[in-house]
Amino acid sequence: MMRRDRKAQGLVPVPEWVGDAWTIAAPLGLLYLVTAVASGVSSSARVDLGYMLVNLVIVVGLSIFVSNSGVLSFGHLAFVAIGAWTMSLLTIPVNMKDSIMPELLPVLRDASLPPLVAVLVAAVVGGVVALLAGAALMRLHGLEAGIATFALLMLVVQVLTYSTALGPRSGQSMVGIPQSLDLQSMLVIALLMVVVAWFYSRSRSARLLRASRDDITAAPASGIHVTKHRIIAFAISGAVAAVGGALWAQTNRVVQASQFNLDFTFTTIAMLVIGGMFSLWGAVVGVIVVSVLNHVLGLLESGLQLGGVIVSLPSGSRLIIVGLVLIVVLILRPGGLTGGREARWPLRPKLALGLSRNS
Amino acid sequence: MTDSSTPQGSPSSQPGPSGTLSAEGVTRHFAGVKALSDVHLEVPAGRITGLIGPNGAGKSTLVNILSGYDRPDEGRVLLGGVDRTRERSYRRTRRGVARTFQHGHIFKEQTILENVQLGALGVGRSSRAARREAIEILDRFDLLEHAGESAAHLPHGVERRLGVARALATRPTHLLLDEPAAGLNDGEMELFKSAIRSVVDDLDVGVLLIDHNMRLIFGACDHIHVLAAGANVVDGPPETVRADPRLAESYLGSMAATIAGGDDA
Repeated sequence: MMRRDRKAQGLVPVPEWVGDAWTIAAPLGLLYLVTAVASGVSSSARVDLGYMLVNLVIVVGLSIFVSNSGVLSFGHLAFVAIGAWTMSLLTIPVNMKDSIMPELLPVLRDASLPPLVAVLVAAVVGGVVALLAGAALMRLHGLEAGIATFALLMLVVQVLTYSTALGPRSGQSMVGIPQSLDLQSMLVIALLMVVVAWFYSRSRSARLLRASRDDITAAPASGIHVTKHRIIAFAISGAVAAVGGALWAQTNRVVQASQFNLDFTFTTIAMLVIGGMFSLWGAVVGVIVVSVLNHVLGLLESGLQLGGVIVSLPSGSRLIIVGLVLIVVLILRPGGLTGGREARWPLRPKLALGLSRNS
Repeated sequence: MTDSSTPQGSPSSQPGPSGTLSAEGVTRHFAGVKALSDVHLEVPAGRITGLIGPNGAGKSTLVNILSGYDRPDEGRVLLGGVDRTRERSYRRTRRGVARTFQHGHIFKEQTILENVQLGALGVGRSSRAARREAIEILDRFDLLEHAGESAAHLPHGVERRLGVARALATRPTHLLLDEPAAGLNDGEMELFKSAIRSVVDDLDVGVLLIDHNMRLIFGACDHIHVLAAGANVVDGPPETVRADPRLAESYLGSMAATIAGGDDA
């Protein structure tokens, strides 16, 4: 992860820990800053900001698996759906559940938890499902595993669509989810998830997994059990994505299985790829860039008055433009905007070695 | 989550004498072609065992089977007398069988130091210990000055040494080196030879050395096996093998096969 930049050798060296701390301080700081600015712009910006924080948690969750394993997952919305479902079932008032989901399992019908506890339960459910799914899927090789995750999404969506024991009848939505977390709490949760991803990325398991990402053949010769570390990453990743789903449910307030579709999948993957698939910094930057772009395009779609002229885009152009940006980024910067690296201390690239201190 | 990798027993705690890695009657087919047939080989601890043979002899296939990267169709792999034929590669590494690769397979996004550290981390060492050991090993292979450099674009000589250093970081009882000296110049070759010799002498490691450089093989090995067309041809101490007419025959014989389209499996 550390590339030395010879051009920068003339700059003042900093201790290794400064470079390390910067890899977490930069994403946290940027996220805080964007939230602070956006929440003061307009009420429509605040709405989009809510969705940005939701997407941030989802994409950070996705990146925990993708950036460390190097395996792309097309199915992480399965865990988002599970998180959204868990949140909805645990927070919709019981009398409302009775009317929209008459055949719900009694235990789910009676369950009712405070919103933050519900988010935590969503994380656990998402994590456990990801652990079980991972144990089955992670034996597959890279691309096959990625495609199998997509099958997992289809499966989860089908179950949530048709199982009346778990939700409303097919085609109907869950409504009545109270919006109990304000932007500030959402920001705190989002920052917390970034911290979780950062700590994970520094763990032994993640380091070994990244070695397998670099060279899958060489990893076992270093004693690395690739499948095991992929499963661990997948489980943590699924838990964080489920937290994103829980936040999504209480932000969107209408939840239906069909919402976890290709558009949503594409948006989250585009965010990660545009920012840089192989780093946490890439995930954070990608979500912010695409969200800001989305917001501006949304304004344009509904007609923006610029000096007496109304500029407007045909509705539906958002996804097209995000798609184009994705393609352009892939052509010009295949590693994404961040090049797939972690944030680097601006005054000097991270010192890779502190031999004199530690040996 | 940090310490989820459980070390599978420290290899260095296994006593030396029991530590022989051996292939017994190993046979392997690929799509009907016999890559190895009934091959026997022993890699005792504390010795350098050479494995030579023309391209297509099955040397790399044998390394893959000894290291758990492949399984034989028939025959067994024993480590310290215990059958490990079906044990998977990462477990075999933790058990003490380390290997290098003909074609680099370096962790490119990491520094040279991190590459070696990963070898130690992978078999369950703590971060701190892994770093300390990595620095020692880099020193042994004259790589310490490069420690902080990216492993993405290494000069050939550095890459070869790094491969061996990383394998050594797993603290092996047995080290399988697949053409570790290919492309090294004479000076580098001498350094490499003495580094390997010091590893064997200091750490009582059993080394299997595959190379096409006969000066290295005959200069460094205690015992040499000759393999041709997937079968044992001759084995013995260097002077015996050197004098054996079957050595030259096996290479001559293979030239005809190479012209007919042989390929190193």
